[in-house]
Amino acid sequence: MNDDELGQHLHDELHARVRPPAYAPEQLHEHMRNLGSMDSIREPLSGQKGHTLRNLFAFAAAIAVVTLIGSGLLTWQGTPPGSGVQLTPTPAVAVPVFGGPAITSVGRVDANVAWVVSSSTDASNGTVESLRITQDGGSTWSEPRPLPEFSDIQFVDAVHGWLIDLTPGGTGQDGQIGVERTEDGGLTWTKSSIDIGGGISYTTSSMSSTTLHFRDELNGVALEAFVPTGSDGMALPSPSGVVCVQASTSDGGATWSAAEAGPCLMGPTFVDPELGYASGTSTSTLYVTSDGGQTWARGSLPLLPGASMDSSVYVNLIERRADGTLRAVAVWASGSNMATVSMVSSDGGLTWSISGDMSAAVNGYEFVALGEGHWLALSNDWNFPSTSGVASGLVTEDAGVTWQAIALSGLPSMFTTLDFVSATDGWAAAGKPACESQVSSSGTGENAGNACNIGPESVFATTDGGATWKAILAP
Amino acid sequence: MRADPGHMTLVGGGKVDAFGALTTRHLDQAYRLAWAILGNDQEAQDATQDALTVAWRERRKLRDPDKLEAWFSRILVNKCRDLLRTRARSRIQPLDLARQPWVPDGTEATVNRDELGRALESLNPDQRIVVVLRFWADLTIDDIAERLGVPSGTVKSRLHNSLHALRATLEDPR
Repeated sequence: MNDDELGQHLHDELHARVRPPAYAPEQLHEHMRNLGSMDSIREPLSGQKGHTLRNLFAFAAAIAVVTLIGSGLLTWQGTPPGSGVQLTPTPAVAVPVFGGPAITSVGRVDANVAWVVSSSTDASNGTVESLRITQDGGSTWSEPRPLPEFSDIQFVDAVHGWLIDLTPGGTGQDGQIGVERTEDGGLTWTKSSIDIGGGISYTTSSMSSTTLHFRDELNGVALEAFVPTGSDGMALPSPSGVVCVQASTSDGGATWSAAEAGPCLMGPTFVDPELGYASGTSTSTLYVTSDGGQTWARGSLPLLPGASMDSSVYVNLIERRADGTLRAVAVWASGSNMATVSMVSSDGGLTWSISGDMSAAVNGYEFVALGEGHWLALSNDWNFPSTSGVASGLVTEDAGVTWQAIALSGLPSMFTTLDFVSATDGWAAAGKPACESQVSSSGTGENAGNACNIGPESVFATTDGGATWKAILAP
Repeated sequence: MRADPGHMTLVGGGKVDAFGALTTRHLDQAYRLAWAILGNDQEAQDATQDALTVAWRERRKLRDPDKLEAWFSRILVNKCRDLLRTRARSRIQPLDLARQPWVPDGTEATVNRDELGRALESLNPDQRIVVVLRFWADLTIDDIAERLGVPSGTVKSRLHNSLHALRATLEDPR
């Protein structure tokens, strides 16, 4: 039997015998709809980079509650899925595809300097992202400056910035992580690369992510997690399937030294130039850095009473107190159930204890530390379009022991970024969603729902700690 | 740029959104492909669910909506490869092809199919994937290369090696 005959034989036999079900199980459709609902959230909150999981839990909050009963034991209680943005089959009528620009990244260096990346898509150019910088707190902005395709961007002042290059030939080719740096506020960019060595390569189709963090214009780290592949495209063996590399530079990103990182840091997030945290590959670990990401201490998280062993844990906020203790907000999630607790560490993050259960008040909220024990919690309106599409807010002055509702005005749901530089001065990227009813393409009504366009986003600002907001930039 | 209305349902911020562009139709196709590669319901569901999650995380990397299907397929196939490798390491879950429901027919045909099932089981994960993509999904070499993220020449060599291994097994059944 030659190759052609064997090929025909395989074709006939495989078509005769391999008969998968015609449709994916409903659980998968539900998973896709849930993720689609979260897709309106594209950027991390609090001006901290790297966390998409935060948004997973934000959505989980919309579909789950945990009630605290009697003796303090937690009872995990799931609720029906919320009516957030629905991903539905394409209707017979055309759905608008290309539209106006949207804010995709907001970062504030201080009260005056900030950058905003917006994206727009048209039929001829595809998706194009551009950078604008302000040096007067958002009163005036630079003209949009085009950006190459990138995965992470940071500025430390109005002129010095870096991004991870995802253009062809950049990151992912020949064991290189591509970095571009600018010293003129994004007018021009200079390429450099991080050699992760060992003949390791990978493609952007592999699961990979890079977090850049610069403490100042010279010193920075790049934290990379990726699935390694050899030159033939085959995945290389690795203990957890993921290889993590930590690279550092002391010359502003011109040259880098890289080494395989001991711990794999998942979703590194920096609170300030020095303090950062990240999950490990184990859900019971939390890594904390106090030197801008150069070194990481492995901490152990407590076991939450009532939580199953397969629960995921996600840290939503870390605050360093003047007395040296660390305070944190953590979310435990198991399936569609979740709990939100406050934690404290007195040894720099090596050990943590639960200091309070905040589930009843703030499950599903996003948190910003505005001062010692002064935290702001905001939540999108996940019930839209059944409700009005306005975000809601709570504030605590005692690190989550008690919460008070605040009357938000001017901040539409969905917000995607929160970034405060002081107790009163904060920005958010937000847009008001608009939905229209759609029917299943099959006409059966199955999977019918609302297709939602969250609309062009704008940058909103507050000067009173998050109560009132006004738009300051619409791309 | 062409916008395939079949791709577009959820449009975030008025722009093409990679994940939002995934539709029920794509999901059904993806699940069927995973099932064809893995040969059982549970692993196909696991692989597809993992691929959805990865796609959601990586959605900003897709800039060309015309590449949506290939992009998501690539993620899915990688997940299937991971599962096949895990299965090979654990040696507890042989390929299910030989246990799939058969179309009733003559004894000789059944025997031939059993031999083929065993032969397919003998392939390594990458060989098995190219065989399924080529002869079950009926993709071209270039389409397979796009989905695997490897050069076409690599696909050809994997396919050649796969056929060689299959032929050897079929011609020397034990």
